[in-house]
Amino acid sequence: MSAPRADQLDPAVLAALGHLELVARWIVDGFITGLHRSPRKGFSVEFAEHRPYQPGDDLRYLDWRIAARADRWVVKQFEEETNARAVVVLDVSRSMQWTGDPARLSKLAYAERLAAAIALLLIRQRDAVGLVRFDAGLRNVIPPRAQRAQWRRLVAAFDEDGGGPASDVAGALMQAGRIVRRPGFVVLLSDLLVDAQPVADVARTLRARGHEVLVIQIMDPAERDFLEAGEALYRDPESRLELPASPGDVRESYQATVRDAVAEWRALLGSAGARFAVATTDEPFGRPLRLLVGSNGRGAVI
Amino acid sequence: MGFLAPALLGLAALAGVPLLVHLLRRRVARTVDFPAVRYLTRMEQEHSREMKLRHMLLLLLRILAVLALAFAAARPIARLAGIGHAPVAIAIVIDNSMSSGAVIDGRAVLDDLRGDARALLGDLTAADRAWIVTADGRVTGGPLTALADAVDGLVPLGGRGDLGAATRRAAALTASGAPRARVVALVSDGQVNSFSGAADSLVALGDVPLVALLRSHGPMRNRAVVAAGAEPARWTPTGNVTFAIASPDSAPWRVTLDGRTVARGTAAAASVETPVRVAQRLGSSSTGWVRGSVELDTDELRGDDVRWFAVRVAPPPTVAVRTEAGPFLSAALATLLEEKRLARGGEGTPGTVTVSSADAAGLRGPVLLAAPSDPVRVGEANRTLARLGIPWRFGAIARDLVLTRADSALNEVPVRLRYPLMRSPGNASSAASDTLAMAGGAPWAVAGPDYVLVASPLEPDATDLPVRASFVPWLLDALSRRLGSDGALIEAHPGQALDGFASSTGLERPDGSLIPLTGDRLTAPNTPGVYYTRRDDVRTGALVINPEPSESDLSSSEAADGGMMARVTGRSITTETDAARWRTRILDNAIGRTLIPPLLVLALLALLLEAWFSRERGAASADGSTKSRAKRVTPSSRAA
Repeated sequence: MSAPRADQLDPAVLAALGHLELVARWIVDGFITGLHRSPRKGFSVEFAEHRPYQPGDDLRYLDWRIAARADRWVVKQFEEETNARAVVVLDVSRSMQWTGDPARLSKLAYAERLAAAIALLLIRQRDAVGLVRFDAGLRNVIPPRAQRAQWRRLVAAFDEDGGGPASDVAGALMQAGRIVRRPGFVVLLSDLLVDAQPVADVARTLRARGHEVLVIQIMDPAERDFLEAGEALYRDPESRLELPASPGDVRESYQATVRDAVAEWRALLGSAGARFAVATTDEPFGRPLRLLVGSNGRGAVI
Repeated sequence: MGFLAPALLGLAALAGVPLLVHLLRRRVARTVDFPAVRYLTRMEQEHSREMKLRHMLLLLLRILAVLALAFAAARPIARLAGIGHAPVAIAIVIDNSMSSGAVIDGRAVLDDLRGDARALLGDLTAADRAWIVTADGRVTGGPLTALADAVDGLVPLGGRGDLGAATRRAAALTASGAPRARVVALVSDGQVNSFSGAADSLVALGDVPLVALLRSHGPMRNRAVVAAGAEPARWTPTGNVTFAIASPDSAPWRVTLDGRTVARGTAAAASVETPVRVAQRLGSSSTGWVRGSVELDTDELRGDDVRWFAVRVAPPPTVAVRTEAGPFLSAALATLLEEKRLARGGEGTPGTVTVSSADAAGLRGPVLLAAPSDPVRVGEANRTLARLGIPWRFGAIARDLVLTRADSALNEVPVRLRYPLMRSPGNASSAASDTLAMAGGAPWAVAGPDYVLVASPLEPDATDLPVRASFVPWLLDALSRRLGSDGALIEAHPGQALDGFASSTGLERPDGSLIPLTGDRLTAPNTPGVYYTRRDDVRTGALVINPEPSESDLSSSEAADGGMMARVTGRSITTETDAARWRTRILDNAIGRTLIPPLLVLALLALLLEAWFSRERGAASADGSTKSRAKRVTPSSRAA
């Protein structure tokens, strides 16, 4: 019997097994195993091996030295060049620290592990990865690097402060676009409890600059289903706005409203050329990771 | 509108629970952090009006359901137009008097009356309360099946009963069925005697409506023995039997003594009001109490074809007459002795009654004593009474003219001189039945186990008693029954209330079985016949039960006094002759119905609506969101 793949495990169970870094490695290992792919080889800057020349091969890669010494025509084959640059934009506002059930990861904890896995996955394929942490303002901006030490820098940044009373998603996205000079890849992890239109506008701008934009809305199942029992005064931890409600009476309406809001995000970001997905904190990390692969050939990172 | 269980109306207070919950929701003490408040806000903005309406509707539906259930639990009834009837409290009076035993065309009248009552019971429901009241005042309550059984078990009474008292009792019973519509239903053969009599000459029902069904029938040829009796009270051993017969044609009769026919004859036609009277001198070979009857051939009404009497057959009482008794008492006793109604005995001989003035010396019981003529002798007389153990004493002389009061021949006798009788010290609690007559507010004639005492000298100067025609029969009765061993002869009608049975331990039925007696009062048995009172194993008297002579008159009440219903007063007195109309008229008094089914339907409807509306609203929200989503594709900013 094969061992269970970490990217298919319950996030809370997985998080309980080890530190964030370790968990991220398990996730990535499991994910790659699931892909059944080996690192691609091509013409890059780092030599990999020789192969016999065939008509049509670019003469630039012909190994003249071997041709001179042994009169054999072979071409040099290189590891594919690491030319992708990606930035993970992570929302660390106060609302991200909430969980509807102590047995589940908070939205932020889920997003951090997902971000670490994404970064590790990209770095392993020699892409440059950067990080932007933000709440009401920018908390950390780490430019993309392809070095192995980059991942540790990114993970170490997760321990820094956050929990601000607002989320400036648009500003963070714009900052990410600035630090990726060449066309690259921007992944936004946020609960998106903000207005959609400014975010969509920035996404459109980034797309215009040639960036691929992937927006993953992190959502607690309680926010989606509103299964809270009993009448209560519900308070937004960021804006402190309070509203009385009885889940039993309004659940149906609430769920419809959430579906409307998600559909609105999807429509706006879609029209801006960005991809959008919802990840709930009770689903395995494998599913949001697959969003990096892409199914339509557009925006695939790996 | 009324409620059968008004206490349960308190459940209506539960209607405040949904209201309270609704109000308490506005004061939520619990605060929960919830980042997605912006979704709640958006939801309220989009669905605020619908949600308020929905909340209000759900609240109203819940309150309505609770109220409907509470009202249904209180079992409301209302007079509403429409089919059916509201619950009624109905007392069905069935006139099962003796006349209902008449057989017309091979069918007893009572069978028709029972059929009418059963049909009425069939129209009732479990929400109704009903009682069966018979002419003798017996009441049967309980479920309808028990009432039907009671109706099936009815038999004609041996007498007239008391339909007036039964009707009054029925009206009173219906009060316990409130708030149902009260009604008294009477079913009767409409016989002229139904509501007659002094006690029930007027039946006042007040607000309780009475609906009577009078079953009319054609003229009936009824033969009846309307009177029978033996004279004198003690046969020695001969005497007379006198009886009266009413018959539309000549009727053969026979007289029996102890079951043996001792005389026969034929009576001419006569009405109940003026019957043919017959006297037969007969002798009895038996001694002691003898049961006798006068019988006719059976006809349509068999209850009055036999009439019973009883007579004591024994040697004449023996008396010893003192000279102190005075000339009038001595003369009366001499007459009775001459006619052999009495026998002379020696003073002191067992069973011999000494008749004298109370001041005579050397008296021994039993005694019949009159007050002394000379007031000076009153002291001596009181000493004699004390010596004989008689608990009475003569008081101071009174010379005013007064009339006696009594139930017997001693009633309204003028008295000019008397010594009012007083209880001797230590005997104040003797039974009141010892007093035979009162005069001037004090006992004038009293009797006890071995004595009869009169408070005046039996002389014309003191009282008119000795010169009255009733004096000699009273004297003979006192000597034979009060002081002899004859005991009392009581004639009564079935169901009549009687008293004076304190000294009796049982009542012997005609078949020899015994009814134990414990008190002074007794309700006369329903079956006519001769019963004997007993003290242990000794017969102490006879109780002769015969129907009222008027019950033999089977003519319709409509012919007399404008009908029997003329004797009933009340807000609504209705008479019907058709059974179907009678039942309809009865239930017309309770037009309407119980509101339990519509209230339960209302509650169920409210709950179904509440459940449906809750679900439908959820589905509608989902559908509405799909539609609204299309509209919101156009980017728009939304404030939190």
